[in-house]
Amino acid sequence: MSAAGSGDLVRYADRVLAGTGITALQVAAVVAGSATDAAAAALRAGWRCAANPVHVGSDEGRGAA
Amino acid sequence: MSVEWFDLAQRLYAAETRSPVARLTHTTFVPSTAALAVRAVPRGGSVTVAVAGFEGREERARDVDALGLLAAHGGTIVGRCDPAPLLTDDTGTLPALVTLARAHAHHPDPQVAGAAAMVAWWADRADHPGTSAVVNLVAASSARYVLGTTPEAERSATTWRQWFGISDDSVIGSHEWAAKIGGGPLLPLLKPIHEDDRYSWDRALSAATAGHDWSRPDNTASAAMGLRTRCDAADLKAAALLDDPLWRQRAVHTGHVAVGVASVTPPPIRSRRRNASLAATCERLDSRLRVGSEVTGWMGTPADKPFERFSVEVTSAQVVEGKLVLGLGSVGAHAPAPGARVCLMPQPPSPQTMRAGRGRYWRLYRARSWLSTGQTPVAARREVPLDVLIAGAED
Repeated sequence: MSAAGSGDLVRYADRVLAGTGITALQVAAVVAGSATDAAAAALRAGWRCAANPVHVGSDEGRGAA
Repeated sequence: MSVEWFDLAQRLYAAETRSPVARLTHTTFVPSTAALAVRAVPRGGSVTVAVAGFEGREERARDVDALGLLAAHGGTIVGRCDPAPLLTDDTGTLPALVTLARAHAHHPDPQVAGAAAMVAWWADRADHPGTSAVVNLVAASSARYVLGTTPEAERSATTWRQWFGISDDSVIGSHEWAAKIGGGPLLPLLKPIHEDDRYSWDRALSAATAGHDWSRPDNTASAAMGLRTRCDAADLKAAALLDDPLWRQRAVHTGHVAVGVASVTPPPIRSRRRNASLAATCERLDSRLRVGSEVTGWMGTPADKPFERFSVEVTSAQVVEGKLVLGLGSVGAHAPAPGARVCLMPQPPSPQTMRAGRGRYWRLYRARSWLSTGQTPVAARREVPLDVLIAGAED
């Protein structure tokens, strides 16, 4: 992961992930895996949301009123 | 709450792709070609101000000349029909401008005094979340995007400029920055706040025309109304964010949006009730939806928000076999099918109801009761109705 290039981000990530058994460098593998614990599920959700941002659809516009 | 992990994954994804990750598909402000990019730096009892209009060059001045410079760029309340929005990229500019404006509030040059009044209007609107009158580019960028950095690094304008590829770090670059984060449709619920910007501007113009001194402290009624409008804007902004599909996906991890499976109980036989009762067995326990909360829901995921939505009130919340079950009372239109995946979030406030409430509030304050004026009432003797005397004696 190129995040490894940013030492500050890796250190921050390790702090946020403390107690989950996941390290910053394992996040890509965790999101690609199928673990269902809270940390893995939240990481996967965040990663997928970043990778596949939805766009404002027609239904959204219809419902905006 | 798992939102820290959600955000972290987005930061790591941004670092991986070396590109900002969107938090919102909508914009939180409307970029304007009338905007003024300003940076004010206090130093040794003097304030240096740099100003650039859209596609203009940077100009600098100090102290009273700085107010004249603002006025020359349209940053004045004198002779303007439309307000010029303020773009800043730090938290120090507006307080420095306010200090300068207070020092020259009564300047004989109407342009300088007009610029001072304009600064006061900017400062007032800056307290209203969701305003387009003042855009703090760092805060607006953080609302819209996540960077592949630590949160601390994200608080720096330099970091944002690097990620957006803006090489000009002067105030001229602020216009390019605003254009980068201001694309897309406006969050629908922010429109009433922008209408309030306009209303507030018209009031400021009228007050300036009438010779009102903006530097004097507000009276009780104005202070109370100011607090109320700020609270309303904060509530609207919070609800507006939940209108965005990306934000809703994040909000699952803050507990503001709940996802679950619907169970529908038909009304009892011979009951006069016609609608079925709905309950949702949620995937997570950390929902912020409480008993009494008005919620809106739909069949689908947080990324959807179809027109076919139902509105209910949370009537019960209990944990059954380790899962949170929200009782939602009876549902009429657009009731979900039993077993359907449903998404629930707080019912957004009605801007019309808020405005009507503010109007009522204002009328009560204008009635000048002892509560609104803050003056202790003078004790006076008068006839007491017999019923009251008897009730008092019984107690």
